[in-house]
Amino acid sequence: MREILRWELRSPLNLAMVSGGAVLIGLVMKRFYLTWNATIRPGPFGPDVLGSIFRTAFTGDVYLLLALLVPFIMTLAVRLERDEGVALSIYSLPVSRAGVLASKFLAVFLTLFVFLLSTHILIFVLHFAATPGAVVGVLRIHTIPMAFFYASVLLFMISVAAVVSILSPNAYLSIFGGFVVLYLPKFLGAEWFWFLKWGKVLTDYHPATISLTMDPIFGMEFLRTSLLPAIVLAGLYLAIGHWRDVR
Amino acid sequence: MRFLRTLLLTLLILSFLSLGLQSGLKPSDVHYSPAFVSKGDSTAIYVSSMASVKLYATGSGEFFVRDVLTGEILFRGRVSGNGAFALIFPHPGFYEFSGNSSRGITITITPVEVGFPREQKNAHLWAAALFGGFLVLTLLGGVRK
Repeated sequence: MREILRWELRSPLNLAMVSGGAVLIGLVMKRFYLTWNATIRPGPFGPDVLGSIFRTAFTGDVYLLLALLVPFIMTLAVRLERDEGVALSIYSLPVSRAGVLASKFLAVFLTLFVFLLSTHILIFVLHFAATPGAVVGVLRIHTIPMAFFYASVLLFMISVAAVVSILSPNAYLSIFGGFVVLYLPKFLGAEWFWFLKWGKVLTDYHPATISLTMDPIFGMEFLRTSLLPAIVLAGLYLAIGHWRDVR
Repeated sequence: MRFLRTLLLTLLILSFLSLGLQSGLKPSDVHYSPAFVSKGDSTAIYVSSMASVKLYATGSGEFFVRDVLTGEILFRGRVSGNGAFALIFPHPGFYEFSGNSSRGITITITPVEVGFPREQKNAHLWAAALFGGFLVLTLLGGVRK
């Protein structure tokens, strides 16, 4: 299993896709930092006010790019090899089918998590580099919640894309199906389904909350729309993958 | 190793893109919300770059502009009726407008010139040099590893 994980993490096509995606997302975030326009009232204000912009850099455009990127990468990992027939030799390795699928899932998650979190932090640090004190203060408070946020959100999106990929008859359907399912709430105007709730935990924090556990990112409301469905869907993905053929 | 190299390359590209985008920023790209200040009521405004701006104030009384990130008072102005002032925001961040007017002052902010603070430009170049340097280190001794 570790060998497959290592192999997947070295996949040039996946890395190129994630790298390109991270650059696009970085551009969107930089545009956001440059053109965002906001007033905050009432005071008093301290350097921690910068935390609000650090958190809200995960915008609707970033979600759109992720909704395109995640199904693409998941399809490259799970579906494309079945179309090409390579899967037959991969799944005949002395590793259980669930083991192969789990390592592919994990590889996609690790790659996206590392690339996106470092993009998010780098763009923020560079944009506010003229005031290093405030940047360090914000990162000290918000890095752990944001890392948890990215982990939950990515697990959710990857598990949705994984279920679609494993059910799809071919790679094209897998990519478009994954995108449509992830972007459906936006198409239908039902963003409250999960996207608005994610936005809410990013904006609805109070700078005065000192304790980490009081951050709404660790609240039940957010977990119900990200991490908990992700666990169920990931289980479903493994079950379907274990059951169906590899062609 | 390939993973690390791709990550470093991505961060290097991002540093340059961030530099390029910020260098190409024009005053027409930014828009600042108006501020309303009165006794006990202040507003923090986000400013996305170093900016030279014109403040148009309407109202009467005294108002202050404070750099929220460093705590420094940048400007004190007194207005009765109308007034126009010139001010430079030294870096991206939040600026607090407060005052002691009893009836309130409305301040609109118009960008004249937007720019790139030197520390921030240096940070971009240092970051790019750092990622580039590490990337070169990982490339020493051949790529196929």
